[in-house]
Parts: sequence; C-alpha cells; structure tokens
Amino acid sequence: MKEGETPRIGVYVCHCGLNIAGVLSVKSLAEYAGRLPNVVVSRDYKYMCSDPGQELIRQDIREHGLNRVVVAACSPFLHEETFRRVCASAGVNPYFYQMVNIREHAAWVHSHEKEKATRKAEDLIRAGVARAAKLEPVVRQRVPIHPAVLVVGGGIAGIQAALTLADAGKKVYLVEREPTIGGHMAQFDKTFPTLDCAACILTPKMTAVGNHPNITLWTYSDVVKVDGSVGHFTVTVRRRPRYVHEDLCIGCLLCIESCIYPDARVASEFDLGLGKRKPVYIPFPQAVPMKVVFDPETCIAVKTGKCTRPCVDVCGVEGAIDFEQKEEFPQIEVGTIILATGFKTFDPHRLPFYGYGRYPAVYTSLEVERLLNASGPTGGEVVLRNGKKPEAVGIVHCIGSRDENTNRYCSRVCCMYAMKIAHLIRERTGAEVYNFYIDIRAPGKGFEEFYDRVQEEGVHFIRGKVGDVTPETPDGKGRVVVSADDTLLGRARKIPLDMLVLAVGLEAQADANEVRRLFNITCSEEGFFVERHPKLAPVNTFTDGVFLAGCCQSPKDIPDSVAQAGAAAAEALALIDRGEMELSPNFAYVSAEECSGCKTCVPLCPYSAITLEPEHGKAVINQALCKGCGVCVAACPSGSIGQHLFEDAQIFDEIEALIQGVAANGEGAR
Amino acid sequence: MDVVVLMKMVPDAAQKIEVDAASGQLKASTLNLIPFESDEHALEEALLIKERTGATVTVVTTDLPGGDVALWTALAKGATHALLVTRGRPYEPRSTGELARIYAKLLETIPHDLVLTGAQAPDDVEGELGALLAAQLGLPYISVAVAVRPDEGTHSAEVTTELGGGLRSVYESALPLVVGIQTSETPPRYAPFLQIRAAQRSKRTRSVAVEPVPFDPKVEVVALHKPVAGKGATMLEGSPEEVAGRLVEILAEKELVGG
Amino acid sequence: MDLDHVLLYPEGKSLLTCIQCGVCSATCPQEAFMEYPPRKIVAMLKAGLIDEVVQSGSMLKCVSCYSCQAKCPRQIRLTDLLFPLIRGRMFEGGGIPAELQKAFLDVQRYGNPLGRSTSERSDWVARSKVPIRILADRPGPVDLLWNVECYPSYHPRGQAVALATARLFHRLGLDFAILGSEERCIGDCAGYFGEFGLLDALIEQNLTTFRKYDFRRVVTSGAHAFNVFAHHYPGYGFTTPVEPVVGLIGEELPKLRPMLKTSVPHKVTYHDPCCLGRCMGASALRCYFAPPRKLLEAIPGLKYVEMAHHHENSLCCGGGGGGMWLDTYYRDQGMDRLSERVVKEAVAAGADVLAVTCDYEVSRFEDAVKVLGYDRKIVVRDVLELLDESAGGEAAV
Repeated sequence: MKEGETPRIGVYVCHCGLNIAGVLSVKSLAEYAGRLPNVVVSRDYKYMCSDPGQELIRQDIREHGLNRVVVAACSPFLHEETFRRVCASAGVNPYFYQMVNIREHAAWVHSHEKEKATRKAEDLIRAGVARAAKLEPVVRQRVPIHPAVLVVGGGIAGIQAALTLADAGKKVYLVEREPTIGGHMAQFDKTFPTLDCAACILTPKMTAVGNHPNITLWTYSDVVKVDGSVGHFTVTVRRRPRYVHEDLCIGCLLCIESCIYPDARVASEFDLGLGKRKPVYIPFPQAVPMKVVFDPETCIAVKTGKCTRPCVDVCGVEGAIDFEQKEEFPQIEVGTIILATGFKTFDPHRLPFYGYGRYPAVYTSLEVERLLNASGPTGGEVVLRNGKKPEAVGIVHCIGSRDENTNRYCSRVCCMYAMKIAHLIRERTGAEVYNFYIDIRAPGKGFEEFYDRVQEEGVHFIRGKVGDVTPETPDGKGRVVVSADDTLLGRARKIPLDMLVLAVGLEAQADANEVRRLFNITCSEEGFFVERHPKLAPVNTFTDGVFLAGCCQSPKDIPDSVAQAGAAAAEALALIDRGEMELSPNFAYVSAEECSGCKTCVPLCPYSAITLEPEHGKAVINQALCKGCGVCVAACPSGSIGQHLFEDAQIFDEIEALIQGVAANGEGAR
Repeated sequence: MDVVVLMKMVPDAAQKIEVDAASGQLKASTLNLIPFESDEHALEEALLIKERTGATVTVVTTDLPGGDVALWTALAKGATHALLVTRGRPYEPRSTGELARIYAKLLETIPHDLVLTGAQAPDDVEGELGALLAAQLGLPYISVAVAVRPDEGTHSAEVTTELGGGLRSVYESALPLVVGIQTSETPPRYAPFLQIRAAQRSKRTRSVAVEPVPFDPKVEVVALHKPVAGKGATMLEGSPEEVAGRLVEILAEKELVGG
Repeated sequence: MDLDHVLLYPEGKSLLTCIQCGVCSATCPQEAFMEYPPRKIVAMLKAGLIDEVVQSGSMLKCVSCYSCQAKCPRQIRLTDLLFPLIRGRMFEGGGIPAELQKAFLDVQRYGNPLGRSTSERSDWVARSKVPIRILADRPGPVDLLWNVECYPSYHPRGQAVALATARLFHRLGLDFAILGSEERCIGDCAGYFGEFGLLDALIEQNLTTFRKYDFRRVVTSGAHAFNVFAHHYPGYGFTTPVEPVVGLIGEELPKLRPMLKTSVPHKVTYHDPCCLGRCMGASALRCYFAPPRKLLEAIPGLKYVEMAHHHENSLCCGGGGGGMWLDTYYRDQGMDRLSERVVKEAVAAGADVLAVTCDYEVSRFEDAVKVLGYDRKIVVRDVLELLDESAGGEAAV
C-alpha cells in the first residue's frame, strides 16, 4: 500500500476443523467482521492454512485489491509466517498481515460457554482489524557473514564441530581452557555400550585437530570478550603463558625428565589427584598439542626465579622455554560461534552422608574412570587407596541427580556409565559389584542389551538408593557399610564394601553464567545454555550466529554430543554458505532527533544491543542484536524509541477497539 | 442401652495443696480440680460399652471449676451427652449423701440402664456414693468392678469385680444397675486437644438445674491438715553411697534382712 | 491440614513425586521394627491404604529423627508433616500406649510431660549459687530469655545441667532471666507426635506469656525446643531470634576460653542431636555441628574422638517424637533402644565421656549406660557441664 492509500482489509475466519467451529459461530463471526470499517471481504473456511485456504486469500487479493489481511485462527506461533508468505506471494508486503488468535483465546479456554466465547472472538477480531489498518510496510535487513568460525571448548563436541567445519574448508579457531583438548572423554578408559576404547576413537580426532591446516588451536586459553553480532563477531582471547613457545616446542618432554624435582609430587588435575605430576608436565601422554606446561604455582623458576633450570639446559631448541612469557590477548574476526564448553561432575561433598572425603573407600565415578584407564595412575588396575584390591564394590546411581536438594534433572548418562564401570571392575578384579539404582534408564541404541549383558555377568542390581554409609571401624579407614532399602524385596540390605563408587551427575560448568553473559545467550536455572527451541532449533540460541553443542546445553552421552556438534557445524555452514542473513523485522529503533542521550535504555537491554554513538551521545540499537523485547521502548522517558510491528498507533488502536466492545457489550463481552 | 457416668471433680494431688489456717478449709487458690481417676475409668468402661453395643453414654458432673472442661473432654473421647448439674451458682454438695440424693433426683429425668461411677473418691474412700444412690433408686449395686458387659437382649449385665490377692468374681444382675468402677478394661483414652476445643465449640454440654434436696448430714469436717511426720521416721542424708550404706546398717540392726 | 486432605497442600503434594528410591527406609534407624517403613508409608498413602498404616502401629516407632526427611531427594516432609498427621489419626483408634498418653495429659494439665506441679518448676533455682532472675519477680527489660524447658527444670540430672548453664551465663556476664513457674512445655512432643491442637494451645499460651516481658533474644537449653521455636513459632508471628545454648556459648568462646583452666583429662565424644543438625534441612548454615566440637576442643586436657555416626549421620537417641515415653512399649515389642546403640558406639570409639547437648539425652543415655552395665566405662555429661567443670565448677563462682 502506498502512503495515503485507503486500507482494504480481508478477514478470514478459520474453522480449524471443529477446534474453532465446534465452539464459536464462525459464520456469524465472518458476517460480523464484514461490517467492520475498512473490511472489503470477509469469509470463513474449514482450514485456512491448507493450500485451498491460502489460495482463497491470494485470489481475494487479486480480485478485491486487498492491501491488508487478517486471519482469525490459531496462535501466531503456528501460522503467522505461513500467512505472511501468502501475502508476499500475492504482492502484498508480508507485514500487512495481522493474526487474531480465536482458537486458544476464545474457543479452547471458553469451550463451556459458546455464546460468550463468540462475543469475545468478535472483540478480538474487531481489535485485529483496527490494528491492521495501522500496519506499516517493513523491509527486512540483511547482514553479511564472515566465513571464519570460533569453537569454544575442545571436548569431543568441540573437536567434532571444528573438524566438520575445517573439512568443509572453513577457517576454525578452537579455544580450550585446559592445556590439552580431549575433554572428559580423554579421561575415560572405555565407552558404553560398545566398550570401545575411548583413546582409540578420540586421539585420532585430537591429532587431526592439531594438524589441520584450517584449524587454529589455542589451548590453555579462554575467550574474554565478544563484540559485534551475527556475521561479524570480534572475539578477544586470553592466552595464558605456559612458559613454552608452542611454535618452538617439539614435544620431546626432556624438560620434564630433567626437572629439578626428581619425583612427581603435584596432584595431577587430569588424574583428579589420584596420580602425581611434576611442575612441568603434559596432562596425559596423548595430549594435543604435545607441548609442555610450566605450572606457575609449583614451578620454582616461574614462582621465584631461583632454580638452576636444568630444563632449559636440556631443551634442544633455543628459546623454546621462556620464563618471561606473558599473557597475550589476540583478537579474531568470526562470523559464527559454536559453544561446546562441556560440563563438570557433581561434587559429592554436597551430600556429606555418602562419606565422600570422609572415608577413603568412597570414590567418585570419574576417579574410578581414571583408575580403570590404562594410562591412568594405576595403569588400569583397580587398586584402593590402601593398596588393596577390592572384593566388594558398590555403585550408587543418581548422586546429585533427580534430587531436589541438589539437581532435579536426570543426568542421562549415569546409569549407563555405572553399568560400564560395574562391568570393567568385575572384569578386572572379579569383585562382587552392587549397583544401587532407582530406575535404570537405558533408552539408547544398544543400551538395554548392555544392561542385559552386565546382569548376566553377575553384577548385582539392587533397586534402592543407598541411604546411609558408615565406616566398619571407628577410624573410618577400612570398609564402609551401606544401607539400602531393596525395594523389590521389600527388605533392608546392609552390605560391607571395600569400595563405594558415587555415580555423580553432570552439572553446568561453574562459570556458565559468566560465559552466558559473554556470548549474550541465556542459561537455565541449572546453568545449562538454553536452545532456541527444544525440538525445532536444538542447537540454536536466542542470539543469532551462536550455536550450542554437547553437554553445555544439557547432559548427554558421546553419540548425542557428536551428533549435536555436527548439527551446530551444519547451522554455521548454512549461514556461511548463504553469505548473508536476514534479520527479524521486529526490532526497536531510535528517533535520533528526539533522543536526549539519557542512557536509561542502555543497561536495561538484555541483549546488549544498545550503545551511545560517540559523536552526539545518542542511543543506537544494533538491529542484529535486538530481539524486539520492547523493554527500551517502554522505558524511554522521551518516547523516542519505536519498534517495528509494535508501533504505538497500532497498539493504541487495537486497545481502543477492544474497549469499545467492552463498553458496548458490557459484562457479556467477557 | 443408656449408660450414665457420674464424674467427680477432686483436687489434683500433683499440685501443692495448702490448708487455710483461718477457715480450716483447702485454700481455693492452690486447688486445681480434675476428674478423679476412678471416674475416668468409669467413663472409659462406658465408652468401651458404647463401642461394643452402640449404647448412649451420658456424662454427668457438678458445676465445680473445671467441670466444664471435664465434660468437653468426655465428649471429645466419644461420650454422647454431657450434663452439668447446677442450681444457678457454683454447686458444692457438702457430703456424699447429699450428692447421692441430687443424682437420684436427676436420674428420675434421664433414661439409665447402667449407672457407672468411680468405686471410690478422695472424699469418699468408703465408696458410699454408688451404694447410697442405688438405695435411693432401689437398684442393685456392684462395686470394685473391673469389667462390665451388658446384654441388651436379656436386659442384664455381667460384672467382674476384683477381690484381694488376684481373685476375681463374676456377677450377673438385671438392669438397671449401679456399678462402682475400680479400673476399666483398657487404660482411659487420651482426648486430643483439638477435639476438646471442638466439643467446647459444639455447645453440646447441657446445664440441668436440680433443686436442693433437704439433707441433714450427721458428719462434719472438723479440721484439715497435712500429715504430721511421726517419730518413727529417720531422714538419711549424704551421698548416694553413704545413704545406701546407712540403710543397709539399719536393715541389719532391725534384723529385716539376713546378715 | 489433615491426612485426608494432605494432597491439597503444596507441602503434601510433594508426596505424589515420590520415586520410591528407598533412601528414607534405608536411613531409618527403626526400619527393622516397622511393618511399614517410611517408603512403604508413602506408597500406602498414594494407594489410599493409609488406614492400614495407622492400625499397624509402625508410626509409634518413628522417633522424629529427621533422617528420612533430610535425605529425601523429593524433599517430602515426612518427619514434620506426614508422620505427625498419621499419628494424629492414631488418637481416634486408641492405639497409643498409656505411658505416652499420660505424658500428653500431663502437658495439657501441667505444661510438662513429667506430671509435675507448675509451681515447682523453678524450685531448682534455690540451689543456684549464682543469681537467676525470674521475670515475674523482677520484670524490666532483659537481653536473653532463657527457656529452661521441662527436663532441666524437673529432672535431677537435667537440673544439674541447668545449674551449670546458669554458672556459665553468670561467668560470661550475660544479662539473662527465666520465666520460672510461668514457663510451659514448648510443644516438641505434641508437635512431632501429631497432637497439633495441644501444640497450638501451648504456643498461644507461651506467646501470651512472652508478650508480657521485654527481651531481645531467646536461648534454649536443648535442641528440641530450639527446633520447635525455629519451625513452628514463626508461623504464629514470633520472630525474636532464638539460639540453642551451645550456639550461644559457642559465640562467646573467645571470652570463655581464658576461664577454661581446669584440665578435663578425658576422651570425649559428642552426640549430634537430630534437632541441631538434620532437622535444619539441607542448609548446613543453620546446623550446629561445629560449635559444640569447638567448645569441647577448647577444654584443656580433653581429647576429642568421633563416633561412627556423626554430623548429619548421627544416630538418634530415640527420645524424639514421643519416643521419650515409649521405652516400655519398645521393650515389649522386643526392640533395642537407640540410646544403647549410641552408647555402644561411643565406647567403641574409645570415649570415656559421652557429651550431649539435648535436654532428653543426659537421662536417656545414663539409663542406657546402666542397662548396658557400662558404668565403669563411660559417663554422660552435657557439653555445658564439661565447660563448667573446666571453668572451676560450683566452687569458682
């Protein structure tokens, strides 16, 4: 419609089968709509969203010269886009479309009072028509997409996403906080349910990342700043000094051997304190990059400078070891970001009655993974802290999961990994293994079969969570006795155990909230990043161009993490290959002449989309970041912020039309 | 089947009771009146009969302080009716004989197959109330009962009483019948506080005015005093070991225990 | 709220989320003696079969130790809501042992479960060598209102603890007073056995008394009163801060420490009362695990040892939820007494003194020591008695 053109509105009342027509009098609604101002044509039809329904609208646009379309049907979430496309295909600006929700708002909620529901639908249609008259044409903006991608986190999800993108020829920056990539998967010995060797399937991928020409790998680093928006993010990375120049170190590890400390004395982070390392170390033999790290807390050369530095003497590369190395803050340009920041395991100190940290017989499942790992502190032998081999082992499921006191959710992987641990312990020690569970959750491919197998192997399954752990001897150093209610037998069980394994759940990273702010996305109460739609946009976030992969979104197993990483990579690729992105028309804008530069709006914006332009100090809204929430519009004291699709005139006319109905119909309208 | 329970309010012995030197009466401020234990047992026995036979249980007491609470409690425990005997001002019969006459007069107006009362009371150690009442009404009387089993069909009751030395005797009597209860078959039940309050709010207690009955008591209370320590008592003091040692010596001296 | 309508309330609705994990039964110290242990009770309630539970008498064996509730992954309020409601139902059927009924009747009549005269409640004060102010005699503002409670007021062993407490307050220069014969049961046994009407009446009566006086905070002798103050009184608008005496003295430790001069050369273990630990829920902030241990370790010559069950895993003394008046019933049922289990653990830990800070416990554990014939092995002392002894005892005031 051109400026000054009279609105010519078509109104379409959908039956939605019997969903609407079973309650509302659709014929009379269509007749009612036909009497409203500016309405040229008004019809009812069985399914407006069907092809014939859509064609009906197109035909009317052609024949009656409609320049506004109102469909009274379901929720705009369902079909707003459908009918906008119909308008566009018939040559009408798609934003000259107005949806009226008479299904949820009238038919469904008032199904027991049909007459009143029809009156209410009249009100809603009248308001929609009034608003339609004030609609304005909107043109969607486009932004170009920078082809490089940032992947944050080098666990299996980050590795998979990085390799997929790099293999497609895209430039990838992979940033990992730890000195090596590999994540939790690198700590495991076997993976369920196939019992693949974790190292055998993971390390080739890790090496591929390290060698890939399209991947820039920055370990021991973290992202500290993210500017810009989809298509053109500017990211600042902090590279912590490892006191070794990565480009010079050849990974011969002679420095470790020559360290002034002959014995490994520092608790190894990778082995969760069960093993020891030196102040200069690599986390594990297959680390990528194979570059040593000098731990500033324990290396006396870094800490005090007072060391004879045999490591420097033995190093064959001049200048590779550099105790003067400083933090660096390189900046990179990327168009899209994939977050694969992973999880941490639940800290069972929070449930002190399980005796973790109190009795040496109590372990977390992750500690046991290290004990089982061939390259772990015991070379894969299951040996207790007192040096003995366990004869009776208990594994308690759901530690820190399904628990209102800790985490309400099911961590999804614990049942399966607990069975894997049970199998491996039994295989290696012949111990009696008792799994204390509430429900066995084995819904994945090959999972139930694995459950069968472990049961057949003689692992005991007791349906009841351990409620009490007490030491057998008062000093607490020996066995522990666990009490459980065997709910299937209906009988209490008290079982002495050499080893009690707590199958700890998965939690969001401790700094998830800071990361969320950094990347301008949302996280749930539990700290997991929120996807845009749980079913239809599971790897997207509410911030365009930022995607999720792996356990940072929710607990999941390796196959799901890898699948999600692939999906995230595909989403990034889709954007890159399109080369540009259409922005949502629903964004706020500032009338510069009216803005006083008071900054009220700036801190209110949940998406950090508002800045002050330096020259005149007036607010500017970044279209690519704005999500159209309207907070700034409402807050602006001078009324200088407007919002497309939600202009004041549209809303006021809509409200006015509604109020007229209330005045006219009295109580009956409601 | 109509069971009537007569309850007597007596001073609570757990509290320190003092005698007023001037009047020679118990000091009212130190008195806390509660239903006597045997009467609580009489009520319990009645409630057991109610549970077994569906009888109506009417509880009666005089309107002494605490009488209303006793009736609410009885209702809370399951009594059907509760009557407060009054004559328009606090009512304190001065003797068991007078009380028996008052109750006899009251019972002329209410149905009764069984009249239960405590076998004794602190001011009626002879257990006269039941006997006098039975005499007034011309009914049979059995006392020191530990179980009452009425039979509606034969309109009679089997009453078990306790003799000394663990012996028991069983009587059968036609109804109506007055019984003095020693103990009920199970310990008196507890009335939850909420039920007592509900009974209070329900206003189910009824006041019944009974005209004073001319009665000339032949016995009068001359004096009240606390027991006086006799000369035979020796108070032992010291540590538990010393007291025990001294006790052994005394017992040996008096040849009460073998050397 | 009653049992039939429990699901209409948010606190009751959580019952529907029970996943039958069995933690409650597994941790219940009386499970072996219950026909229906906690997990089955929830299942029975959900299945509409709760009357069978009421009739079974299983609930008489619950000692309100909070183990099940504190560990329940669904935060189902078993100890302070569901079980009291079920027991409340037992009053209708007459299945409550006479000993316990008498305790309730005594609380109704005399405001204490020992059946003692209200006028004798502060008789112990006469034996104190330090001044103890009774508010009725000397009203006026006071900093600390000391809620002495029933056992410390009437029981000879409790009175010894009360006297030691008074001496410590005096030494620390605390401005304190008691209610004397105006004090009544705070309502613990009533509230946890489901005699809610009595609890309600006691709270109303106590609040009426409190309103007569001007005090800034309340200190309770023991754990149970503290628990009732913390969980039930706020609902009646009582917001004055309340601390158990070990918490209060714990805060005064810097001032007390120089006075602790006499060596107490014993191996001491400490029994965590349920009502200062588990009952405070998941929030460890309000648990009093640390103060008594710090106090004991401040005593010269004393060696502290830990029992197998401690902190949130502590074994109940068996006195809560009416258990104090069910020992005869438990014996008739062939049950071992929890207090004896604790004493055995204390001896096994090598302790010759079992330190406590719960008003029921001195007498309970002393009974257990005698029954077990451990008189020569171990003695039971309140933490405050040990502190008082180290500070010179009665001779030093």
